[in-house]
Amino acid sequence: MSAKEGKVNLRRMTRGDIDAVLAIYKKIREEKLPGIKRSRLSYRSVMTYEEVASTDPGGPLDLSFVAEVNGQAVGFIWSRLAYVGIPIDEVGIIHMLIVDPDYQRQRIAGKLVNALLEHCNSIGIKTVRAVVDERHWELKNYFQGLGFRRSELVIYTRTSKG
Amino acid sequence: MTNLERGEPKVRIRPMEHEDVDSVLAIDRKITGVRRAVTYTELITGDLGGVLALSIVAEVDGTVQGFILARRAYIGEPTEVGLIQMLGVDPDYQRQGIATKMVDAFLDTCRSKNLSAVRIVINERDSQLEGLFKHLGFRRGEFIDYTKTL
Repeated sequence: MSAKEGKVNLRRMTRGDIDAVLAIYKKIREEKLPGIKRSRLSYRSVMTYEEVASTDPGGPLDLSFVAEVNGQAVGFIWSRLAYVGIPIDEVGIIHMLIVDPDYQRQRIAGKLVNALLEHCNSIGIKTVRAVVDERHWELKNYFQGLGFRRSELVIYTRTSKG
Repeated sequence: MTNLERGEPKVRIRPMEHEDVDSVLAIDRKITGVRRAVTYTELITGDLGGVLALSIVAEVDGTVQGFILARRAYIGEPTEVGLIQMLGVDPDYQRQGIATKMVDAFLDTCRSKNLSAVRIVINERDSQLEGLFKHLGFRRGEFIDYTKTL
């Protein structure tokens, strides 16, 4: 077993995880993925402490989980309870699923998703959604492999500037 | 020619209040024919996620004839946006520009709260709703929705 491997511990995210979450996010931003131009994806280069803190990790609407190896956070799934759609539906929405590049290919992402699904099921949330950039084929394929299916819902946006 | 001379109603847009719940539910029921009051009552009066912070109503002659139910949300990226959960106009007052006025007011509200975008999740088979929001200046983006039912 290499130093990068070990028993994966999954737990709910708390406010104390924000710095670790930002560190993993920064690291993944710097990774180059084959066939993907980062500049074309929706992830921004900067995600701030305030933005993550404002989602109230560990709060009543938060559904996020952290994966630890040897006591160190190496991945997270950022998810929140939301009421969306017309008519309104109560769903768990996955906003981000990220694993430290040094710890990838150890099925940690799948464990994070399963932890979320089990938690949602246990509290009566029957639908979990992942909002994905349609140009990110790798992520699309990943969620399809986990049993997610493209829904009929589409997202329309209007900027509020000027 | 003024609105009044054309016979157009005077529309007043204001923030939604707890007292508006019954009016909102009545409009929704009139539009959809569905009695789903419990869900909306919980959303509005339960203050789950601060719905009242962004939601607005449109009054015509002092009576609520339209509403936008909305809240702050994260959809697809770590940037808070204004999420329209429901937009309704009483069928007797449709095609009078009330939806446009409400969306414009909602955009102003979002700007004042430093929210850079407004989003709505629509079923792509609902061509009427899709057409309305296209008309209101919304555009379909790159985000798509993958769902797993438990």
